[in-house]
Amino acid sequence: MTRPSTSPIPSTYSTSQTSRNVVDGRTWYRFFTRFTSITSATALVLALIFFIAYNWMYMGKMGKFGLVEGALTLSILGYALLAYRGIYPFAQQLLLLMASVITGGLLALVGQVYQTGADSWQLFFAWAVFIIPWVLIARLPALWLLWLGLINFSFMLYSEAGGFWFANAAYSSLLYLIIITAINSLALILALKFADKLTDKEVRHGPTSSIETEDPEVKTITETITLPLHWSVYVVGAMVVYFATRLGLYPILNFSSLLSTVLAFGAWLAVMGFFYGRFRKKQIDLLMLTLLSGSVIIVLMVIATQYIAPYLGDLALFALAFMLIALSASAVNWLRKLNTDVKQLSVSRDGSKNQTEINVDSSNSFEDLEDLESFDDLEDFNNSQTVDNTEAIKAPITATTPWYLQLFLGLSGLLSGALITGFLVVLLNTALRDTPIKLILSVLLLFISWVLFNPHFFRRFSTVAAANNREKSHTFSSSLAFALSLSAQAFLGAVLFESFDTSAIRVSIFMLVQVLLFAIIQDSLHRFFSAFIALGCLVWLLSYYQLPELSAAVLALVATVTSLPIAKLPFSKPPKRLHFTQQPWLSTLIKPLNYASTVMLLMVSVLFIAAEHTQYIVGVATEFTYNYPLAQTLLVAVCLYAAHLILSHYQLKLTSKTGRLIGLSIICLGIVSVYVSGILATSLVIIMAVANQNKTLLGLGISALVGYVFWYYYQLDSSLLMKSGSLMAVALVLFAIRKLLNREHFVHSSLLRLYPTSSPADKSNDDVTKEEELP
Amino acid sequence: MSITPIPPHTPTPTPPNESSKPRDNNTPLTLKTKVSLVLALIGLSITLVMTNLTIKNYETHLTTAEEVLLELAPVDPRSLMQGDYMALNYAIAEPIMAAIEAQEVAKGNLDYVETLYNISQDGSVIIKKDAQGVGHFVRLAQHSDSGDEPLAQDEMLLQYRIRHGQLKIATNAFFFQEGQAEAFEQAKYGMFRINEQGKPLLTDMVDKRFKVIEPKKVQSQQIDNGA
Repeated sequence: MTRPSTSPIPSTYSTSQTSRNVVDGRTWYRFFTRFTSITSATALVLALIFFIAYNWMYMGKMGKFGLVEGALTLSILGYALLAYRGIYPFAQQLLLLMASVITGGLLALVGQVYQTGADSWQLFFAWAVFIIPWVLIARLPALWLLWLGLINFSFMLYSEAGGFWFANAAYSSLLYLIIITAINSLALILALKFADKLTDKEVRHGPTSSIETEDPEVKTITETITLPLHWSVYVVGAMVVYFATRLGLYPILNFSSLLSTVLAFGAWLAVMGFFYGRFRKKQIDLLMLTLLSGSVIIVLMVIATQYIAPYLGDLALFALAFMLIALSASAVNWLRKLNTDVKQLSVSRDGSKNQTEINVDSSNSFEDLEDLESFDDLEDFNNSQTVDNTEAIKAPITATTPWYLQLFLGLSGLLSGALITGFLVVLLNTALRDTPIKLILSVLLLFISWVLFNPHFFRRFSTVAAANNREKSHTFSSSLAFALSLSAQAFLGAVLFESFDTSAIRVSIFMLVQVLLFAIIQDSLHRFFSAFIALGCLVWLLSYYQLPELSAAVLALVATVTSLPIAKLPFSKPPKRLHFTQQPWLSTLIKPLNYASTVMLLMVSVLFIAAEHTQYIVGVATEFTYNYPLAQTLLVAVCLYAAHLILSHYQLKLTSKTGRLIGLSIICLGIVSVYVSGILATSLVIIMAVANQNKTLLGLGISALVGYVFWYYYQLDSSLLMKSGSLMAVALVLFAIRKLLNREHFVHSSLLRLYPTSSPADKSNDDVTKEEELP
Repeated sequence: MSITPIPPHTPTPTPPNESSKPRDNNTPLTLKTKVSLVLALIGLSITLVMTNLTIKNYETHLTTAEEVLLELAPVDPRSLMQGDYMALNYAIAEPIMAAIEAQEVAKGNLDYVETLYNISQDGSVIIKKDAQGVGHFVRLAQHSDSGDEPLAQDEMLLQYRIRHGQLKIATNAFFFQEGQAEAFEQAKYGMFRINEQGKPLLTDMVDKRFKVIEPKKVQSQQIDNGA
C-alpha cells in the first residue's frame, strides 16, 4: 500500500543514523502511544472536573453525583477488567490515576452541593485516604506524587486552620516546617530505597544483564557513578530542599529562643548532610547537588544580609552582589568538575564498547515500554544521551553544562545584577538624574562585561582540556560580567524611557540593543537572556500594532527553524562540508535562540494569549481584538512546516500518504483546539523536543501543558461548560489518533502475523511502519 | 509484501514482561493480580459507601432541620463576586466575637484577648428566630456538649468556627452556576438548615423581601432542586 513511498527508508536509515541523530521510528511510536493516551485520559478527567465546577443547575444534584460516581465506578471496573485479562498494563495505571483524580472531584462536589464549608484540609485528607489502595496497586510514580502532594497540602491547610497541634501560635510555624520536612524526607528516603532496589534488580536480572554482567567494569561504573533517578524523585528532592531551606531561614528571620534556633538549624544541617552523603559520596547526582548548593547559598546570603550588611553602609549591596557571585560561581565550578569527571568515565566506557552501548540502549527501550512508569521517555533520553557523549564532549563545553546549572547561574546573575544596580543608584544618586550620565554608565558597564566575557578571546578554538580549564577559571568572571551587563541594561532601559515619548519607539530600540548584544557577547547564558528579551519586545510590538495573532506563529517559526536543521532533500548524499546548522559558530548562536524562542512561545501560548492579558501587557486603550481562527491558522501552517522538516529527515514528503495523514491530524487538532490555542503550540514544542532528543525542552513542554490547564481553568473568556466540552473533544480526537496509530501499526506489523494474540503494548520491530505514524 | 528490515544493531525483541501478555483463560491469576483486584474494588466500595452515607446524612439534615435566616454583612464591596462563588460574611459574627472577648476579659484571660484575632476555635452560640425567621444572637453556649445546654422554647443552637480570627458559620462562600452572579447580588440573607446539634448547612440566598433568589433562566427547573 504505502510501501512504495517508504521503501527507500531502510537505506537512508543507517546513513542518517551515522551522519546525524535522527530519532528512529520506535522512539516515535513509543512516544506517541504514551503521549496520546496520557493526554487523552487527562483531558477526559479534566472535562469532568470542569463540568462539575460549572455547577450546572439544569442537572439536579443527584444527577451530578450519579455522573461522577458512575465515572469513578467505570474507571475502576475498567481497571479490574484489564487487570483480570492481564492486558494493557499502562492503561491499567492510567485508569487508576483517573479514578484517583475523580475521587477528588466527587469530594469537591459534595462540598459544593451542600455548602458545608468544612475546613478544606478535610477534603484533601479524605481524598488522600480514599485513594490509598489505588496508589498502592498502581505503582505509578505520578500517582505517588499526587498522593504526597495531597498529604502535604492537607497538612498545610490543617496547620493554617489551627488544628490542636498548632493551637500554640508561638512555635506553630516551626513545628509545621519540621513535620513537613520530615514527611517529605521520609518520602525521599523511601523513593531512593526503591530506586536502589530497582537498579540492583536491573543490573542483576534485567534484560541488559547478559551484556552488563559479562563485564564487571561496566557494572561497577553504573553502580558507583550514576543511574539517573526517576523525575519524580527529583520533585520530592526539590520539595525536601524547599522546606529544609525555610527551616534554615527560620531562626534568622524570626526572633526565636535558643532551643528553636538549634532545632531549626540542626534540621536544616541534617538534611544538607544527608544530601551531601547520598548524592556526592554514595552516588553522584548533579541535580540534587545543585539543589543543595542553592539552599546553602540562600541561607548564607540571608545570614549575610541580616548580620553583616548593616555594618557595611553603602557598600553593603555591592558586597552582597560580590558574595553571591563568588558563592554561586564556586558552586558551579564544583558541580562542573564533578560533571566532567562523570562524563570522562562514561566516555572512556563508551569508547571501548560503542557497539555494546547501542545494544544496551535499544534493548532498554524495549523494556521501557513495559516499564511501569509514566514518563520514562525522559529516562530513555538520558540513556540515549550517554551514546552521544563522545560528540558532546567535542562540542563547545557550554553545551554540556546541564540546564539546571545554567538556570542556577542565570538566577544568581539576575539577583546580583539587581544588587549592583541598587549599589550604583545609592552611590551615584544625584549624578544619575542626568540622562547622559546614565547612558555613559551603561555603556561603560557593558564594555567591562564584554571584556570580562572574553579574556581568552583569541584562544577560542583550543583543545578540549584548555576549554575546560578556561571554563573553570572564568565561571566567576563571566557571572560577574553577566550581572554587570544586566545592570547596564537596566540603566539603558531607564535612559530609553526618559529620552523617548512613545513606548513603541522605546521598545523597538531596546529590542535592537538586545539583538546587538546577542550578536556581540558570546556567552550562551547571556545570549539566551538577550534573545528572550528581544523576542519579548517583538511580541509586545506585535500586540501594539494590533497583530497579536502573528506572535505565536512567529515564535513557533523561529523555534522550528532553529531546532530542526533544514535537511536538503537528497539526504542520502553525505554532505561534503559541515551542514549549515552544524557550523560551530552558528550553533552557539542558534541554541540560545532556540531555547529563548521556545520558552517565549510557551509563555505566550500558556499565559498571555487571552485577549484580556494582551491588553493588559500592552496597555493600549483602544479596542483590542484577538482573532482566534486566524492565529490558529497561522500556527497550523507553522506546524505543517515543522512536520515537513521532520519528515524530510525520513525521506518522506508532506504529500505522501503518511504526510497527508500527519497533516490531517495537525489540522484536526488545530480545529478542535481553536480556543485552546496553547495545545497546538505546546504539542509542537514537545514534538520538536522528541525529534531532537532534548529532554530539557520536553520537560518544559510537559510542565507548560500542566500549567496551561490551570490557566485555562481560571481564564474567563469562555464558560466552564464550553471548556469542558472542548476538553472532551480533544480527548476524543487524541484517543482516535491513538487507536488509528495502533491499527496502522498492526496492519503493517509483520510480528502481528507471527503472534496474533500480542497486545498493542507488545513491541514490534517494524521501524518503517512506525515512521509513518509520526503526526 | 511488507518489507520489514531489521537495522543491523537491533537485537531481536526481548520477550515482554509477564504482566503485559494477555492472560490465557486457563492460567490462574497471579497473587499480585488478585491482591490488586481486591484492593481496587475495596477502595471503590469504601469510597462510594462513605460518600453516599455523607450525602444521605446531608439530605436528612436538609429535610428535617429547621430553617433560619442569617443576615449577610458585606465582605468587600469591591469584589463581592469572585467567579462562580460569592464570598460571605454574617452580621451575627460581630456580637459573637464581642461576647467571646467580653467573656475572656471577665475571666481575666488578657493574653487570650490579645490573640483573639489570630485564634482558631470551634464553639456554639444560642440564637433566637424573629417573626421573619431571621436568627439573632442571644448568648454564648456554656457547655461543650450540645445536649447539656438549657434552651428556652424559641431558642436554638448554632455552631461556629473561628479561623484566624474570622468567624465562619457553615461556609463563607456560596457557589452557583457560572454566569449567574448578577442575580445573587440581591442577596440580603443566607438561608440555613440548622439541626438539633446546631450544625448549619447553607441552602439558599434570600433577598430583602425574604424571597429565595432563583436565577430567572432556570426558575422552572429549580422546583425539584431548590431547598
